[in-house]
Amino acid sequence: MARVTVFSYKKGDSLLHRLDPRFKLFYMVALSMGTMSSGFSGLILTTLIILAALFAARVNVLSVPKELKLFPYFLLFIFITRSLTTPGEAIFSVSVFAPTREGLLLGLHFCWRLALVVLISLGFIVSTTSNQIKAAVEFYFSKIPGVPEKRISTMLSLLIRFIPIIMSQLQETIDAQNARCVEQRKNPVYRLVKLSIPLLYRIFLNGDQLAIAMTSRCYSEDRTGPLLTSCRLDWLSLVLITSLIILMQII
Amino acid sequence: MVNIIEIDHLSHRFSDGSLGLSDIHLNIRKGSFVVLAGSNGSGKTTLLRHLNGLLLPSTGEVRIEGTPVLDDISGARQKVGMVFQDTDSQIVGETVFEDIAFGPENLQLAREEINRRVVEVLELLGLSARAEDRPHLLSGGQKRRLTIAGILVMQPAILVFDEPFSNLDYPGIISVLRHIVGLHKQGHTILLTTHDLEKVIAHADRLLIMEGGKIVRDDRPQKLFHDLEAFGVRQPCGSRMGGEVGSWLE
Repeated sequence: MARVTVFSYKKGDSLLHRLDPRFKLFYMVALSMGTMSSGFSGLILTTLIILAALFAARVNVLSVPKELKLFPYFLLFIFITRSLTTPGEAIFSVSVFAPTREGLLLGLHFCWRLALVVLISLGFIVSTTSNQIKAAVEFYFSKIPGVPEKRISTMLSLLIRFIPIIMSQLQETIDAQNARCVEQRKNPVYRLVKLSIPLLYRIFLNGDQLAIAMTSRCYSEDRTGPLLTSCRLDWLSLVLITSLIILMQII
Repeated sequence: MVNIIEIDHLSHRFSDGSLGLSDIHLNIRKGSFVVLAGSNGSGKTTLLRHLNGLLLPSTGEVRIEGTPVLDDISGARQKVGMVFQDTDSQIVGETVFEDIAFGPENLQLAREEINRRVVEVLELLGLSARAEDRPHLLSGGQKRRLTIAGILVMQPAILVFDEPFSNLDYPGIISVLRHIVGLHKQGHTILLTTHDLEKVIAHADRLLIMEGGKIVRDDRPQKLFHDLEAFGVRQPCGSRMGGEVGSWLE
């Protein structure tokens, strides 16, 4: 049985699942941009709404830090750097390190925004199948002249589809190398090279096999797409999300 | 009965100059169940990939229902449904339903027709309860059935299976075998490659043995059992013991 990752489609009938994927894609981009210029009050409000939506979609938010193993450390690094490098009123001082009150607030604000963007993206990914994502991406790119929207959307949907398989192959390769005591090698570059070569080989081989299998099933860029229909719920949500984004900038 | 597959003097040379197939001449009758056996590198997969134009002949011709594959590659791909050995790399949908719908969507069928066909094959392959599940979470046998569903939905006349039992546990093998035999009884022409004849040979009416890109034996299975090991294929256990080779479904 393959490993289950929280960052993949999860079937359901929640509000998120019922929204038209075109609207959801727009909300994801607009909300992510909205958080960039939002204050703490706006972030609190948006976080509560996103968490409620994820809870309703039965997503285990607590497993996100475990899934994104390095992300919490990345946030911690940003937080510490900001607190030490932002000029302002020093809270305490140890040797040359003097975190400032302004730096702590700025670091917290920045980290919160990044974490919120991850949660917003999670809401989109768990409630939208790759076929729907493909259709939504195709819909927006078709408005831009000269962009091969069908090819881009197919590549994107295949990438999303294959992330769990690539992760599973990565883990398998790590396990196989651990079984041969690779941890005895202290040079990280050596270990990275030994891990990358077989992994990339398998990814390219699978990509090749996928292309053959798709060809044998008559793959064509001109195919029947999913039926996308917007309903009252989508338009109502558009009004609410737009209001939320405006509110985020005001409060 | 008419020939559904006709292969005349087919040869294939790979880009590195090595010979994959050498002067293959083969006719397969409609509704037959043919097993293609041979050791690794004997040319089984190369031959199968000529049936729907995934590989093109260096010389010779392949005809499906009388039409040369080169004249209508898209038609050949609809008529010849191919199930590959590695299931994970041929599943493209985020859900079971979406994956089965991939082929009919490529054929640009109407959405209602696609949905009707998908529901029909989900039922046929016993996957209705998993329709909204993610394919990579299915068991090995279910994944294989999903790949069969993905080609059946395109309503092919010929079903080609490349090592369909590899990496399956016993219940998975029985489930896939039962479906393959059922599809043959419904009138599909079956062409199947395997290293392990034991599992399927009781249901086949013809056995081909390949070596070095050539068909070196072609007869009823029972007549070839004693020749198998000379070509790197294990003789079925029942035959070794001097008895009948029974079905795994009994």
